[in-house]
Amino acid sequence: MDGIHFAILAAFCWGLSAVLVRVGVHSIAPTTGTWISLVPGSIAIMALAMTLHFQDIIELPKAAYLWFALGGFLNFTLGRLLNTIGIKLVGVSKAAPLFSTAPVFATILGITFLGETITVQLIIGTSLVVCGIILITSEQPQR
Amino acid sequence: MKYIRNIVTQHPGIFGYLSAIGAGASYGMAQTVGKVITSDYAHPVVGTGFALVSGFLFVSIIFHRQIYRDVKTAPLKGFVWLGLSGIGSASGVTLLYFALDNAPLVVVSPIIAISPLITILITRLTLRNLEKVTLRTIAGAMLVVSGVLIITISSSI
Repeated sequence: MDGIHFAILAAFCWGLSAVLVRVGVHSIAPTTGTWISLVPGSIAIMALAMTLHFQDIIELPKAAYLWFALGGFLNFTLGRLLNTIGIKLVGVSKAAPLFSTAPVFATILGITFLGETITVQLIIGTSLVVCGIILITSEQPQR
Repeated sequence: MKYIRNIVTQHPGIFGYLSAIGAGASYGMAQTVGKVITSDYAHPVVGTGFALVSGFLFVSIIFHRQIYRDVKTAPLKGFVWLGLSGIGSASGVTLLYFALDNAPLVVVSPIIAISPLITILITRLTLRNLEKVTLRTIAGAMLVVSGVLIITISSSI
């Protein structure tokens, strides 16, 4: 299997994962739903990291753990929780395109804090994303 | 807390849309932090592993009361669906690393960007009783995915 097949499978797994959240939060609060959904990932990815990069982990500087905690809070506490609340309140078909706008925010932050440059492609891409958001959010969600 | 709960009850749609966009912003910030981690400290697998564990610990500490209550009272099927969702998400991350090991970012990132369209397709096929997918949602999702594709391709070339 090559990289393209792995990428297609990854996209499918994420697509399916969001749909499963929609079914799950029907009977469970988003906070608990977020907690449950983090258990398998924490075990699986940490085991993979320990297996493949054990020596690197031992040698990590203390500052790295602060960055891991910040990344963990933004991605898997705040991001995952808001994602789950969004899915519960407006439905997965409307929420999924909205939380997939992360690269737009990442690029804007990259320009602001990491000195990356503004390009024509960025302006066109961001305009399309904004139009898409307006189109999706202009519709009253069914609950 | 009660004030926030009232706003959510009165305007669930607006709060839901803001939450989903907020999730996008939060993921975007996390990607920026991820760039610092992978360029200065650790391999992406190590960074993601530790970030997942710390995210799990934060959620456990902040919402321990709600979690404890739900563990005792919520139906088992909810736990099964959400557990499967976690497995799906973790598999996605693992497969992404395998994809990036075997193909350049410029090829992998556009494929990953289409996952909302896959979500909509699966929703349309499997959740007809729970959720209606409208043409406006599909058109909006295609615009968002097109915009994200342009940005990810231009930034990975």
